[in-house]
Amino acid sequence: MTPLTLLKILAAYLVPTLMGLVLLSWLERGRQKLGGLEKAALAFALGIGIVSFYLFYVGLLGIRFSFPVVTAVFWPFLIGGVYMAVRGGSGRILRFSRPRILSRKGAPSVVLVVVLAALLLWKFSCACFIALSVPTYFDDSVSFWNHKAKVYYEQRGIVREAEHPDFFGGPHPYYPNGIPLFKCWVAVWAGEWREQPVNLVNPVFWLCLGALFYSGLRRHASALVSFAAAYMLLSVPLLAFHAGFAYMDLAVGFYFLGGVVYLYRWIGEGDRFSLIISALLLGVGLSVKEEMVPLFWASAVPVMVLRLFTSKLKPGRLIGTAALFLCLAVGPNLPWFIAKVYYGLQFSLGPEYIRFQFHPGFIGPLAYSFFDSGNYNIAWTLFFAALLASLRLAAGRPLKYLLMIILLALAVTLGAFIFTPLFAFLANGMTFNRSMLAILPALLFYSVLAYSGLAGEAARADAGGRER
Amino acid sequence: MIRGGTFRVFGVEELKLVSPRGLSIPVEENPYLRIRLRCLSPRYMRVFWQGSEGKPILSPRVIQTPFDKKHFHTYWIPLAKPPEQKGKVERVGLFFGGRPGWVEIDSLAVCPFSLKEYMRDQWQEFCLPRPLNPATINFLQSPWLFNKPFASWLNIIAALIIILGAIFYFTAGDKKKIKIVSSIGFTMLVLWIIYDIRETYSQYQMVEEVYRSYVRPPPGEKTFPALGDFYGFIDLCREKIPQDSQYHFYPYPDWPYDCRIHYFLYPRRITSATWVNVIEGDDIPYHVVYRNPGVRHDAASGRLRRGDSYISRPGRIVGLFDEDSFIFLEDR
Repeated sequence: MTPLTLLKILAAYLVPTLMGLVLLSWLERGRQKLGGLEKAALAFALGIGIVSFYLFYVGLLGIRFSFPVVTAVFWPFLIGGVYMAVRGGSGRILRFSRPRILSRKGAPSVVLVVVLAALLLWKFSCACFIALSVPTYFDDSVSFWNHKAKVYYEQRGIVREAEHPDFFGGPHPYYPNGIPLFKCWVAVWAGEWREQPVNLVNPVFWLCLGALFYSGLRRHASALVSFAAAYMLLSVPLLAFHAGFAYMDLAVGFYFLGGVVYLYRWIGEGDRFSLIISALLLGVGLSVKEEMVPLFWASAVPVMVLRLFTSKLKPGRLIGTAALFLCLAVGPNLPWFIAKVYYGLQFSLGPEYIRFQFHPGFIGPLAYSFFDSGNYNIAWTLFFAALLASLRLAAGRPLKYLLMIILLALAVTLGAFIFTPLFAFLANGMTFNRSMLAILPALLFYSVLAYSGLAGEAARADAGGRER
Repeated sequence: MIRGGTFRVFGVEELKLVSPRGLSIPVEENPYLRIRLRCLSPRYMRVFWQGSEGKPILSPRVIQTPFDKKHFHTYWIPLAKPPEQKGKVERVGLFFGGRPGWVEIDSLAVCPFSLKEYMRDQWQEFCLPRPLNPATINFLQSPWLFNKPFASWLNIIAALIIILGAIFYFTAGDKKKIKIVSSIGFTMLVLWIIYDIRETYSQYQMVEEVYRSYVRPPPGEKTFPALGDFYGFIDLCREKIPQDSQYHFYPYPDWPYDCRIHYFLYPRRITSATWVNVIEGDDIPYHVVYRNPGVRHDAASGRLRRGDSYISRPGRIVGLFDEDSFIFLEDR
């Protein structure tokens, strides 16, 4: 690989991040609402959305994915970014503050941080080594994600003739196009189809997930606790394994976590900016994987609507807020949904799975997967304990909305495996475990908030007692 | 079958192996069966023993063998329970159920329990690399320790600590509650790190295996877990088949990885029993045969033959990988 190719690949990842930064800075309206780390992670994730939606619309119009066409999306953002930087300084686009993980901490904390950081660094190195050295290996990464992307790249566009073997990316035309189109974007920048640069997206998502999780918690917990919790999330064995191989459950986990974190922030602070970010992240998530559809409609939307009804807003404002959320999340995906209807493509699960079929034997495989497998470390024990311990705590606080979101997400995900023929994938320990990766980050986010809440409640009670 | 110092046996359904009579091991010695084996399909195993008279006695322990074609696993199974059971173990039997496939036994011994050897076996079992196969992306096996997944032990310990912590929390004063929550949190983190250190070792083993088998393999042995020489064959196909061509693909029977050849050779277009990506009406001059002894080049007619029927027009082999894997091009 020549240095020029390396530079092009770097640009393929940096350009969407820059577009995301410009979008976020524009949404911030001159007031810094996001930390540097948080903003960078969100910028990459939203940048992927900008690129993939753009390529999808261009492809639907039958326009060829030539380099000038593909990169045309960048120019408005570049101009907007330069304008913002000139008016408000480069700090308006991205500003990092000094990390406070180690400030005013004793030697044990320093040792702990160093150990955790070393373990994370090792995991990231492993993920990068795998992504950059081995060929695409696992079934779905070959036949869903990379095959679609390779078809888009080799055809330089989206084939819309239903009888053509490369129709909508080939063997699985009904599958969402967000990630394949981003991989196609990377290949267009690199000038050829290569395994390594397109598979690098997974380690990057893994990093972004950690940054988002840390930043999300940082508002509610100390830097050390947030960092330790972020380490725990990133070292969930199955999640760390996915960081190296081209499956996209990790990406769904990122977008769902992002949607939940900012929805919760909007619920707690009433900040419209957070609602917009939540909607945008969920919207991009909808274009990544089918699993996001039930999570969005059965978990995020009902809680958002419930919150609106309990917030005593005027009807006009209430409808306006709900419409804004739905338009931002669903709007960019509408052309894809319309294309699905138009071409008669399958929505979500195949018809053989959409029927009620209760499987009372679910407890054994479920317990085995949660507690005996090597997938999750002790994450599920921590979550169930946090759930039980925090029910009373959550009742009178915004935390109850977060609890509702994750319980609904858990119900819709588990329900699919318990009440439909999808049970087969729970019984054989296959798809089920990957599906859990989509909600696990949000579940751990709740768990840490619950434990922090319990400690905080005790601290407040103690302070109250001393005052009396 | 004896192969490379191991005893291999193939079982389609259930499989029973019974030792000859005359072992004569006193039950008072508390005998154990120590067996080191690997199963090439998911299996469960049970052990039974028989005295000089009476029915065979089934050991209550059921061994679920991991889906690990690569490594041998060692199990210690108690045979008789003194003092309830008396007499002598005259013969021992093994019973395998589960999916059809090979069972390979490396060593088998009926011996008294030895703590030292038992601990050594447990440690070796604990340090075994994780199998890397196409199912690994869905499910990671936990390392085993003392006949239980290591993750189970840690979950049990975590649950016990949380229950104890909860009892203390609800009975303690407000000041102590903060300490209890922090202590529980810290203990959970420590448990998490303990598992993660073992997981880090698994990651190291995986990286080492990938490096050894794919990045810097011995000459001519470029491979990747579970796919054998596939990538070497792909390199040959890329070299011999032009990008705008179409090909028939004949893998070895029940080869489940057509999607990979389809992906790696695209934009070359495939037609096979499971994948069709060819443009209707366009010529399909290439025939790709991979580890399929059923498809042969018939030198007399110059055509490819499967069984009694010809499946191609006359042509020639343009790329030979091995006897069962080659690329054939029809004359035009």
